[in-house]
Amino acid sequence: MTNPFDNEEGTFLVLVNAENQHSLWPSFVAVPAGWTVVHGEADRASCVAYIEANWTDMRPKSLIGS
Amino acid sequence: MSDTGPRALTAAQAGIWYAQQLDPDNPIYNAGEYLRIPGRVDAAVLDKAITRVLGEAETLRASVIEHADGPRQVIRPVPDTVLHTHHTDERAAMRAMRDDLRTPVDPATGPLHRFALYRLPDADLLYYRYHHVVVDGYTVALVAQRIAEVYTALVNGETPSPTPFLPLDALLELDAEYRASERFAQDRDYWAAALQGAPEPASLAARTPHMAHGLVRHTEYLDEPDALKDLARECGVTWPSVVMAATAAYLQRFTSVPEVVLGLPVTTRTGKARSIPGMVSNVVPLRIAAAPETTVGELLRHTSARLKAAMRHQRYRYEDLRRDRSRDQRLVGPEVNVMIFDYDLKFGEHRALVHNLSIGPSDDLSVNVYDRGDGRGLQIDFDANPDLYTEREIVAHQRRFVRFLANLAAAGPDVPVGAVPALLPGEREQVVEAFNRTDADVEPATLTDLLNRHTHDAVAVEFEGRTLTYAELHARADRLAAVLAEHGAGPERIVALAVPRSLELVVGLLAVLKAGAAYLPIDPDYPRDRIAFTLADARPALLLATTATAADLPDELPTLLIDQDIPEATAALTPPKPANPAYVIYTSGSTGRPKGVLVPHEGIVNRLLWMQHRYGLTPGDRVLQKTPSGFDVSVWEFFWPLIQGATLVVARPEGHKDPAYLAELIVGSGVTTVHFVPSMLQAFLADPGAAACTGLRRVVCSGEALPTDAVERFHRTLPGVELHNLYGPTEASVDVTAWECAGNDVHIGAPVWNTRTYVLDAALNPLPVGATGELYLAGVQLARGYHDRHALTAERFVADPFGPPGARMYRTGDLARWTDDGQLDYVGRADHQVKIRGLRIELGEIEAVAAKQPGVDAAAVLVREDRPGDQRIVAYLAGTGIDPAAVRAALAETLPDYMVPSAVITLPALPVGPNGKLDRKALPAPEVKATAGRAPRTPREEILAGLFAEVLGLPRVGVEDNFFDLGGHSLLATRLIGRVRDTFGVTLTIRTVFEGPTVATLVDRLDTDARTGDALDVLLPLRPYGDKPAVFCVHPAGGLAWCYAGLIKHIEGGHPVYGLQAVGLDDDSAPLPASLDEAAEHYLRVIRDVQPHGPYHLLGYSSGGLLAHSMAARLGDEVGLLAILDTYPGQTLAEIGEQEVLADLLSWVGFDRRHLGRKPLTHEKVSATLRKLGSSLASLEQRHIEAIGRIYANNRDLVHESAPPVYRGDVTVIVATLDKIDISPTPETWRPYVDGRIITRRVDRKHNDLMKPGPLAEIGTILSAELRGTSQGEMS
Repeated sequence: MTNPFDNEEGTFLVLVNAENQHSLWPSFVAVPAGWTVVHGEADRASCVAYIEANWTDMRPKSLIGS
Repeated sequence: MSDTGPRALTAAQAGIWYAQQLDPDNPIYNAGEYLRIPGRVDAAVLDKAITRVLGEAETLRASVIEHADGPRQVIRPVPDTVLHTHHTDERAAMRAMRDDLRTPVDPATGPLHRFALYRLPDADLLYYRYHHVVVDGYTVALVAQRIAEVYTALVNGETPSPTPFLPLDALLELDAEYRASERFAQDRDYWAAALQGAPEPASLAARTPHMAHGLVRHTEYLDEPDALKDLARECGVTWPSVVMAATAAYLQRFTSVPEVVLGLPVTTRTGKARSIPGMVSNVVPLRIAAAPETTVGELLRHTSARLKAAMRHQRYRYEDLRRDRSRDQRLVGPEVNVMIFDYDLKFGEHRALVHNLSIGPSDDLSVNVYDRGDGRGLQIDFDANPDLYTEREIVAHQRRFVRFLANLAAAGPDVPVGAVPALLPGEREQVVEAFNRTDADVEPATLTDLLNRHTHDAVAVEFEGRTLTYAELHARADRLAAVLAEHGAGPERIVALAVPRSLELVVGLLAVLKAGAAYLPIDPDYPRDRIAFTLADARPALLLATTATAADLPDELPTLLIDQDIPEATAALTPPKPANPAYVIYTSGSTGRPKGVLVPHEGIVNRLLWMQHRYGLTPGDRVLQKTPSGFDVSVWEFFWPLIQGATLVVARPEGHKDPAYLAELIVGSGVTTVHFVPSMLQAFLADPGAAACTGLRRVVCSGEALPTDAVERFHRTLPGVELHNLYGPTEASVDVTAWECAGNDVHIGAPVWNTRTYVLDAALNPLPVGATGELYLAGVQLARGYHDRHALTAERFVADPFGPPGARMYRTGDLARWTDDGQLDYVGRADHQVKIRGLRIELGEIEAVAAKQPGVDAAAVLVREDRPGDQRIVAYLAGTGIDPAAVRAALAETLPDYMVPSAVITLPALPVGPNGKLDRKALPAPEVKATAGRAPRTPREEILAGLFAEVLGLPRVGVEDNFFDLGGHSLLATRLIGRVRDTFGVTLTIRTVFEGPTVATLVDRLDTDARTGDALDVLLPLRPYGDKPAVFCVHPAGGLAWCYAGLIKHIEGGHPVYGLQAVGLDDDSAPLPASLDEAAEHYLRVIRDVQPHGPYHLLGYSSGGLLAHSMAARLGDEVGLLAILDTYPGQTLAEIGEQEVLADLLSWVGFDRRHLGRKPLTHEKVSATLRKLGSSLASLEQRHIEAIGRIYANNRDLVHESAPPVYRGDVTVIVATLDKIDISPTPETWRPYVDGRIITRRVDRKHNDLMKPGPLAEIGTILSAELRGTSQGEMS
């Protein structure tokens, strides 16, 4: 059984929602509502590196603000 | 006409023939169809036409017989008439045809054809049926066309055209030529390359395909095939390629494998073979990569290229392909058969329509597509093996497939194939929405808020006889919380606790939550490295420990000892918000690093309030807390009772592994609610104490698949107690689905409040009911993510396409499927994460640690289940100079106990498959060691070693072998404790087994009360424990009572068992008794020392029977049971020497002395044999053998001289019936010496075999029954 998120050869996007939560996303699947593409389409390693570099605070944005 | 003698079969015929021989009653090789002729034919002319064609097509007249050289076909003469005519209606005609198809046909007897004409009011139906051994689909069509042609000529008064058919021999020659040709070799090479690294066949069915006995067929039509044909043209492929690509993609959708191998039925005919009726069809593999990201256009072109290549090599037979592969296995999944021979059948004026009824076997599924050109679009038949699919499943698949085909055609070439919808109307709504309607109003509170509502004086926590009221608990926690806050604890900070289960642990947890921080449980028993890693990774504000645990913990962190006086502090507490983490729990990580799951208050609050709503805990309830705090089940155990004003009963540390303790605690503390991991539930139910836990109201299971037999046993053992099966990962606040096991059905159930569960395919499309896919979770219970692991969090907690905008879903890696009524079934794991006894393990983590060890180049770790139900972790290491024991020790220093492999195997290299990936199936099972450890010295060591072996599933175990090295683990240790308790009547603790994991050390634990002596003393304590009257087993003539050791496993626990042995076994100078009475008097003094009062149970074999009787006569009414094993007064004993003594010793362990040859036995030889067999008798020295000979001779004399006294009481005589003849003594021989009943019991054995293991088991059973029957069951 293969999972689209584990495909080392696949191409991916990095998505972000309003809470600044990040999601890796296989580029062949439609982007779900409420999420914005911030990186890609790119290979998996590039997307992982982007997330590590840009998502530094895991707290939901609404919690930081309140 | 050619020669009619026997001739060979084509390779294709041979395949069918053999299959039919294997399963002679299987009618599946009947191939049949009917032609609907919309008008009247002339039946006599039709009969003539058919007989003429039978004359032309030899194969139709063939039958296949067995010949000395293998099967041969014989051609029978042409019959005068063949057509059966029936006037009937449609329904009866259909029934008759189907009945005929269901009748098995013997290829040897023939005829292998049948023709019938059903004359309906408005049409004629021409039915024909052949055995598949003589025709293929191509031939069926060829013959039908020829019959129509001949009929039309005859009915028009014309002479039919000369036969277009060539003789059968031409086909056989072509077949033989091909098999000897260069082309054959090329084809073989082509297929070897094409199938390199091919995946195993995928199936839409959950079960493994096998030979079919019938067929379930369903027909659908693709109404507008034009779009499909347009798409084919646009992509430059033929339309059958589209059907095949769609089949591959559909199969991919339902199995999530990236590549599938379909079966492609082919005619194999070119050139003149096209003119010869016969059986040469074949099936070749059609390997298609249908990954969901591939575009429709790419998939079609890829399929078309593969199809063309397969067609070029179609003559190479499937049977040969299977033989060429090293493993004889199925090579292809579903078959796709596109029928485009569009033949025009005219019977005179009337154009006939073909209706196929059966096309041959389908061991899984065949997709048969016909382009009839009759305006109804493409006809699509699904033929399925009814053993694998229900009618309903097949209909659903077929409807979806037709829809998928239409959607694919409409999508166009540029769309990823994974984006083409495959669900039926309503299916998506059902699984995404209807099954996930879980909205519930939950107040926006934190766990801290809920806990703070109960501060009254009821008992909140109970531990080992100590209690805290709610008021006391909160007072202590409040004080501690202030200290924690002073040390920096607060929202978004972490406080670690390394505290064993205790009242202090509960106070500590509560204090952390009151301080607004998240608690991080640390198991103080974990290896130092692991604890150090966790603390460094989590960076807690401070560490709470006890004086005992702190000693072994890293000292860099500010540490507070919770069992010491807590200082006063006044720092203000900052209450947490619902989105702040309440706890952090570390789970195994695949890259070798454990990862901390951050769970917010709102998630766990939802989970707890749902649980309360569903199960309704009352203040009178008492919840057992036994799960280690590092596992998230403990979260509800701790806090559910505390937010409901109920009582928390805390099990002692280590107690969670001990079923007997748990049962006592449950009964003693009035526990109503308890959790078990299913494997522990089974161990618990096996404990005799479980049935007494009638105060339980509910048992909650989670952590691994709950076996049906555990559920059945649960209901039998604890009728009326609720059993709930829950499922969820730590990443979603403990549990997300729940099911009540009211009957014996087991599901993981439906989602809990405010939770959505999705079963998705590899393109993240929802799968319908019944289809297995990966389980994704969404909703309020999702964790925030992995502490400080942002990329990992973004890979596992991903965008949710089905929830509110911006929602996330967690991918579990678990496989699941929906039932019709919205319950989920757990199917297994999608990846290499495993659970052993409910504990989650990433094998990658173990592999990463193993790979770091000296000399190791590569490591693979597997969970093996070489014995059903016994899962073991096995590490395989490749490299040079690896010391497996050192590696195992190193792993034990880094990994928690449950992750340490039970076997480490070194290999020169790890086996890889053709694709370069690790070939897990080629990894060897760990060898079962016949151990070299020393043999047992005493009967009790021998019994214990036998229990070790039984529990471990090994043939034998040495006295110094380590239980855990031999594959033992904590659950098996529990089983061992149970067997020791049943056998010896002694209850060990798990800790005892861990501390002394060998037979030698555990025997000492059994002997703590020093009630043992030398194994050659008069009193031989076989099982010196129990509160019931003891059983005394009196030695046979040789004087040794060790032979009774095999009995104790079978005598009910509670009765101590002692052997009585002759004086002089270990002392050459000891005077031997002068009479049996003297010996009996001596033994009476000995037994009164052990047990001052009756009832005494006595047992004796051989001269021991006479001795037991003599003792009984002296004891009178103090006797409980007197059992005499096949011994009778007035018998004489044979004279024996050393040879017989030695042979007897062998016989007691069930060993036939003849195995050692005819030479005289020697002491060395016998000892060596006994040692190999693991018998304690091996420890007897030469002088003991001599002593036994001397004692025997003395006893022989005493027996011959004895005059038995009269015993006033009942006696049970166990008769070995097998060697009794008419003149043998009977139990009545005892009559003059017994003033009471003589009870006869029989065993179908020989006298001399009675001390062997099997007979002893039967005797033990009889004795147990008699012991239960004695009125004085208990001692006063």
